[in-house]
Amino acid sequence: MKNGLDALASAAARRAVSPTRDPDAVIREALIVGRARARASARRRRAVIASGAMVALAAAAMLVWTQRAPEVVVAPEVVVAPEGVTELALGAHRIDAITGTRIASARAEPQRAVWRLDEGAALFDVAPLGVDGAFEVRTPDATVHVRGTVFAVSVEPTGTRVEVFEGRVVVHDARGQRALGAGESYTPSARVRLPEVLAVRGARAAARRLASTHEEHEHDAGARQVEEVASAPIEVQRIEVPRIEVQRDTASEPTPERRGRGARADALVIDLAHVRALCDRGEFEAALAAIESARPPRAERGDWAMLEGDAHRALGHTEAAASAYERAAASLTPTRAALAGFLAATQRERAGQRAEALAILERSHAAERGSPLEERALAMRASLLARLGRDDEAATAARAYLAGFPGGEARARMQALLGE
Amino acid sequence: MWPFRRTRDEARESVDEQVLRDLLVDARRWIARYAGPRADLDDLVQEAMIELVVALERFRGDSSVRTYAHRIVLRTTARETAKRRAVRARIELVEDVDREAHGTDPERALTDRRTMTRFYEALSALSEKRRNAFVLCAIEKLAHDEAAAIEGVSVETLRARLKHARADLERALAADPLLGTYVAGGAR
Repeated sequence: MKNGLDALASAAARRAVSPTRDPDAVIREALIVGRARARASARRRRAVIASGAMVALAAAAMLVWTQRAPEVVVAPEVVVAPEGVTELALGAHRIDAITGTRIASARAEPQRAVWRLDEGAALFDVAPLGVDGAFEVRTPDATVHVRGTVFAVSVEPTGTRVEVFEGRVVVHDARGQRALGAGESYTPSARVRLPEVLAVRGARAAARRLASTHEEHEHDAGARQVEEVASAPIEVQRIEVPRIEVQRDTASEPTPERRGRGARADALVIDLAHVRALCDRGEFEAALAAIESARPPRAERGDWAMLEGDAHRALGHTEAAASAYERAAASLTPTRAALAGFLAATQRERAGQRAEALAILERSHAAERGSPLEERALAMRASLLARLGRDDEAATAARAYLAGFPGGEARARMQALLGE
Repeated sequence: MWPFRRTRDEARESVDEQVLRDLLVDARRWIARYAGPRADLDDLVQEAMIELVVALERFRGDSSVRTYAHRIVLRTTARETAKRRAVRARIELVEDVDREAHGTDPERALTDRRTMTRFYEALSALSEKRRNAFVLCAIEKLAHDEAAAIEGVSVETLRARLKHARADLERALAADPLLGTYVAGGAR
């Protein structure tokens, strides 16, 4: 007997199917509507593909941008100092360019900086570089290679003059290659001179660096083992976001008229530029007297306080310097305030006021991630915490330092704090 | 529009029209056997023909045009019947019944009609894959390999689907007061 289900299926198959009433109309409509649907579908498909491509491109661009972000150069192509001295900063490097200087940042990476100096003169205060670090100054007829030093380059039609105040540089030109040490200079033409203002600033920068080095050594006086490691070649792997700050200092160089009258404070209008010029010349007592008698405008109070701090520090007035720097930190822009706070903390530490130093350091945000002073501030914070007996926090800070700056200058000290 | 593109489109349209003409009768039969007695058969056929035109743009020649078209028609019909299930009204069947019953015994015709309606209701409760397998093999009487080609599966898979479809249908019809005796008693 045939299965009932098969019988039902056969019955369904036997059912007559009524014919299509108007086959031509059905086919015509199918062709018209079908074509329209096919075109719409193709358009949608193309739109989806285009959107996907756009999203992929945007994602790729974002990826490239985020990967390259630390190397982004935010630098003016060419800086021409209109008058006075223009101060440039790239990471921890400082460049002072005099009137009429044409200087370009060919590569604004602090660890591999390249500058092009076409004319004029500039002082380069180059912070210590890492193992693979480089700092190069190219003039029309010479190239100067640097590894952490203070030197000045002057370019005139008759040639280039290089003068070294601290450290060591190598000069390449058509005549060959020569190394210059501190106090040495090189020029193919005796007529090429270095502007006096840069000579003064160079000497001061070299002195500051020596003092800073001395300070660092004082820090390490209690730890012989640390000193031994610190004397080994420095390996810095720190990567900073390149940033160039330009500050015009229109009158730090005394005018001919002022030179003629001498640099006596009482003979000049007391303004910020005048006090800065006094500091540049090393006349710190006069600078302090000028600051005391001046009435700075509110907007410049931070700058005045910074100069006061510099003068006190140069004279060894640690507490007065710290106090001035603290005042400066209260009214300067965040980046400069961080620097002022850090200097204040340094002075408090030198005065033996460790708790105050730590408090100022915390307030200054100098140790925060991304700060130009992050490395040094982190190291100082760890040291202060250790000296205050806050061992656990000191260990945490030391670990943070080593994590952020595994090849940092204070690595050995931080490892010593951790007992490694 | 570029001349060669216009020529290509005209040629394609001509081919598509010929394919539709060749397949229209078969497509109507496939739909009728798949969907059962319905008043909206013409609409289903029209929709299937439109989808066939769209699908022919994507035809790559992996199978015969007929097999490909059968697959497209079944899928379109399954989709359309699922969409229209909610709004389908039984009263629509009366016109068909009266027309089909013209010249025969109206009572017998009505009974047959009800039987077929119940049968297709049970069929529509199956999953699309099992329903397709049953329709292709049991109603269309296609060989298993032909049905497997239309469904794009292996013969073994199709056999398994058919087996499950039969089991499901027998279970569903056994509980039906009208078709229970029909299934249990075999063919009448």
